[in-house]
Amino acid sequence: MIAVQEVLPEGMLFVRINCILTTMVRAPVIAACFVLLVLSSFVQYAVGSPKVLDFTIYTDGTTHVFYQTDVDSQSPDSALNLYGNSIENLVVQDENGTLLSSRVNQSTATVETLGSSTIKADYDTPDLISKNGKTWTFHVNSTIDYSILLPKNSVIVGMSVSPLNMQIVDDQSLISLPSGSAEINYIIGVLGTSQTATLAIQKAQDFINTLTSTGVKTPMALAKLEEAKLDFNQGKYSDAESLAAAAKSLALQEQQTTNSVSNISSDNLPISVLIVGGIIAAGAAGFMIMKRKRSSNSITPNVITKNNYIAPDKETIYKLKPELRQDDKDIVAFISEKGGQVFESELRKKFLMPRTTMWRAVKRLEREDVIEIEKVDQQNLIKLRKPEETEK
Amino acid sequence: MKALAIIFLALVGTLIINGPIQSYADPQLDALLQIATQARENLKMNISQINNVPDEITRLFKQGSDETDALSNAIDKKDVVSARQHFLSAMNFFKTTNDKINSLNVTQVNNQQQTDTLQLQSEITRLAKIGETLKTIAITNHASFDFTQFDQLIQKAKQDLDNGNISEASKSIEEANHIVIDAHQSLTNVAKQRTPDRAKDFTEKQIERLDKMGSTSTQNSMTQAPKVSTTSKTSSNFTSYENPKDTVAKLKKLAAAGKVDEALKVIKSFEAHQK
Repeated sequence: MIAVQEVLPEGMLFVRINCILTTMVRAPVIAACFVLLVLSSFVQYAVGSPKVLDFTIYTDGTTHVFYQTDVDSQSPDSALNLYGNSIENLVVQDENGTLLSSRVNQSTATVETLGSSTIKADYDTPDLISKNGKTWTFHVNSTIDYSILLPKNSVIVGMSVSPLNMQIVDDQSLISLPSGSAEINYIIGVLGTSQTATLAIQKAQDFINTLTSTGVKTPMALAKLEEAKLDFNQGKYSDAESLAAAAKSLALQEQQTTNSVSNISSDNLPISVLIVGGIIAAGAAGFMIMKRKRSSNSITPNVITKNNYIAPDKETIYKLKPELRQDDKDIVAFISEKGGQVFESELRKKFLMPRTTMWRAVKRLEREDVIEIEKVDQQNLIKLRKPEETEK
Repeated sequence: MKALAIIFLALVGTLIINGPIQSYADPQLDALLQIATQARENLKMNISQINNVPDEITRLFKQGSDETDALSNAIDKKDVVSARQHFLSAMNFFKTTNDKINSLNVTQVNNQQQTDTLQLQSEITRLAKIGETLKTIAITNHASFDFTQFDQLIQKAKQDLDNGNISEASKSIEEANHIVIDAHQSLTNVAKQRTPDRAKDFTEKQIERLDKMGSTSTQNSMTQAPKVSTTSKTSSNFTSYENPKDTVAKLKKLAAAGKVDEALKVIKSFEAHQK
């Protein structure tokens, strides 16, 4: 042992010390690098995630937009770019949920942030979706990554970009997409899956069974249900689903008919009284109809003659407003066919749309200066605007 | 030694910059296959319901279907680039196929009642969601708005729809929609009413902040006098209140006079110059 120590040259010791020193100097550098790496993930999270953009698409073509972003807390207000020109139900909150006042000018909202560091905006717009035949198209150009929640029973039939992710949330497709322009084509309620068809058939069957147990006879509904089952066995799930729904509504009608018949038969009034009552009721109804007809006759022509109204050509409107949605063009075409003016109720009857949906469509066309709304006899008279008025 | 440290730092830097990009770049391949397969199944069903299918539609659909198979193979091989290409190509063929089917105009007679029900269900969901958002905002902002009738109408609309009573459901939805409009208006008014107070608070906080800034810049100017003077000389477009001290004086004057709107303009202008 002693001999070895004596043999070891001093220089060897120096080399070892040098190595230790180098390692000691490197260690903090390596440690600093690791710390930087760890910190970077936090910094990236903090810097990279302040913006959130979510689109929720509804069956009627309306899109709900949720947008969250960081803003300069030292500035009294902040400009927010909105998706679409027709903005409805806009609410802007700060990070604490405090409601912020805002002014919308076309597709920009000026939000009075007054010290807030984050803003969250919620609004609806019909401008991101168009429809051609049965196919709906969602189009957006975003500067950040975003998500889209498609309506229930919708199937994507075209997509211009690769999604980052997709998952099913409550029977709805939630798709994450990268920033940039994207177009998604989808169809609603066309795909009849075996599950949805089974459900529809089961529902109709249960309803018919309930009615049968209470003594209501439903031969028409049962026949329709049999058709549904037949289609289901042939793999025509979409048709089977429709037929099952029709069977249920037929059963409802049959129930109503049975109830009304039993109500009449339960009355023990003499036939003569019933006949006299019927005549009086019919007379009263006839009088009311005559009166209404007279009043409506006296109002509608007045409107036309008073304004010397000439129906504008639909093609001219299409040329001036090429960006109109297909369903809006259909409405314009119908109004044009009807001489340039119709009551809103006629539009609802024609397009079988719920009141609110039709009202939104009408308001959209009014905003586009394509139509004007006039109140006539407590009804909305929708008139196509003249092209020169539209151009303005 | 120095070279090693530089290489190390460069490596770490590259990791920091490229790390998140790589993790975002890989799409979930299963999602691509799921979307393409759904589209294929749907179109297959639609085509099966057409009597004399034109050759063009059959060809386009087959091309899309082949691309979907190729996508599936690429996913098995974990070939992301190829999978993405096949997905986009498949979806393009399916879109064209769908457009061609649409142009045939042989759409089956839709069950109008079913369409109405779907539309109304969607309306109810939309309104219920808006209602929930507005309710939360009303509670957070201590704004009194009664949503009881709204809740009842939504419940009634759901029941009517379940019973197949579309016209009644439609009426309830319309009424609920009016309540949403009223609630929205009411909350907008609340926000507007509270804005002057918020503006006043904001102005006061900014005065405080700029005051601190002013005292710091005064200290700096004492040590770095030439630098400050150069800045003010070169920027001829600046207003007199570009200096925090001047700005504070002006803001205090405006706040005392109750001219909060003008004070906000001054703050905005100052902030713009600071940037």
